[in-house]
Amino acid sequence: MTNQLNSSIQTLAENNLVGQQVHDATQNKFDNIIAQIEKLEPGEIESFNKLKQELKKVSQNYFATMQELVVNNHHQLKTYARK
Amino acid sequence: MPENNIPTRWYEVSLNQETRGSDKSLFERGSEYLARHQAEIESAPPSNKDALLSVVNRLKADTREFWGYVNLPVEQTIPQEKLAPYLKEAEDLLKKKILASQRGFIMGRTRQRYEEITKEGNPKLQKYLDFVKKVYLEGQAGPMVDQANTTDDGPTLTIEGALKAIESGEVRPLWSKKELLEMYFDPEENLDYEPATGDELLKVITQPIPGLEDTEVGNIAVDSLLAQWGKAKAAADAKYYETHKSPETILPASELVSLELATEKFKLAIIKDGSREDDKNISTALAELLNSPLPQTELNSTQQVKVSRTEDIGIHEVNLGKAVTLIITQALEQHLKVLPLSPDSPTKLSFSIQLPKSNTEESLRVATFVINANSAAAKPPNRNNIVTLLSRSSVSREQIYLEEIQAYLKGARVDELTILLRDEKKPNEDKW
Repeated sequence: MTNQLNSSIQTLAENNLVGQQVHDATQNKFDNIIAQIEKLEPGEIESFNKLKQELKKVSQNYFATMQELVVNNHHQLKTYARK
Repeated sequence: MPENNIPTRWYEVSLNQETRGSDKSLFERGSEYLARHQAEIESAPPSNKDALLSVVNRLKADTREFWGYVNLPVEQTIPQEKLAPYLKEAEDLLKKKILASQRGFIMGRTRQRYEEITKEGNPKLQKYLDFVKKVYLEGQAGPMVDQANTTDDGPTLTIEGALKAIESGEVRPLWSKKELLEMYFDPEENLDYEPATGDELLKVITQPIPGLEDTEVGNIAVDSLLAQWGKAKAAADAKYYETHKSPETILPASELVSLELATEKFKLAIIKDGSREDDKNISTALAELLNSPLPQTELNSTQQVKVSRTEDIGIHEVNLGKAVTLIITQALEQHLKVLPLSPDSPTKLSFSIQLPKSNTEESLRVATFVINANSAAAKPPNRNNIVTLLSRSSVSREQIYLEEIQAYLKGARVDELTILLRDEKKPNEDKW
């Protein structure tokens, strides 16, 4: 019981750490994309579209990771609640 | 309330985010954000920089908001009702440990001072120290000064008698009245006569607490306490660096452990000299010394910082120890930002203080401080860690320094101090 409880708490703590890292990294990526957009010259359609694709990918990866964490947190909390 | 009801209720609240004004699950909310983002990015008109920038900024704001929902600090994850008993237990144990260690430190130093000063033959001081020895080191305090109840060593002294003697000026204390009372009335009687160094104190604080070391909750409790302790220490350090004005503000006695030795020496000097005027002179001289600007120099892996000083050590011999300690920390304060410190490089830093030729033929290496940049457990090296480690690891060596400087340089003039900062993969203990 205690081990299970501790394991759940440990996992939640680790999830938080992972989430924070992903969040920070994503914010950095957004900032980089902003910098690239600002440098774009008129008519650079290809670069413009490339950045849009990159943005979509960043957003997808972000929410995919966060949703995984949400599901896992949910599982840990249920384990914790059953104790 | 049954134990399993607490997390159930809490978990439902967390999952549903009721407290944040939404009854949607986080998973669904994430899907909604994602779908909206993809649509907005797709619909951004070609070559319209402002429109795309606006989308990115919305994405940033949304992800920040979402992270606010997902982020569940462990402190919130564990119901306070559950954590509280562990915290209390950990806090009590930690306090006892710190108290015992500090007590050992004070007692060890007191005994050491007693032995040193006994040889100096100061009658008033001797009387006081006899009292200290009886009361604090041997636990022989009687109810009152009892002239009738004499021993081979003289009448039994009491705390009241000693305090009266101190207040009347008959003797001057190494420790304040408050400190004496705290020492005397401390219920912890498990005295450790071995001097405790700053390193030992740090070890005591950071070692696992028996009974809690194998539990995650226990570790969190300890971490929480250490964080609080660290925060208080950081605040004290910040104040310390802001106020290099007088010995009182430089040395809040309970703060920097390593500086207690210097404080002790300072008090001792006043006692030895017997003049309160000197107190003022020393304060002024020290303040002047500390307020002198240090040279601005960028440090690479190996570099020297020369600090020119012209001070009469004959007058301020005792204070120089304190001043040098502070000079080191000031130098670190100025230069740590350019030191190549990272978890990967260098693992050791050594600090040497050299007094160049004065009345000795060779330069006198007074002390070398070795700092393990990685010894702060999992904490990355930073300014506060390093300065703290410096203070702590220098305790015993500072002692050597203080002894040496008095022996070698009494009456001499110090024209220059050289602080060597170099990083080493391994400490070179042979230098000692």
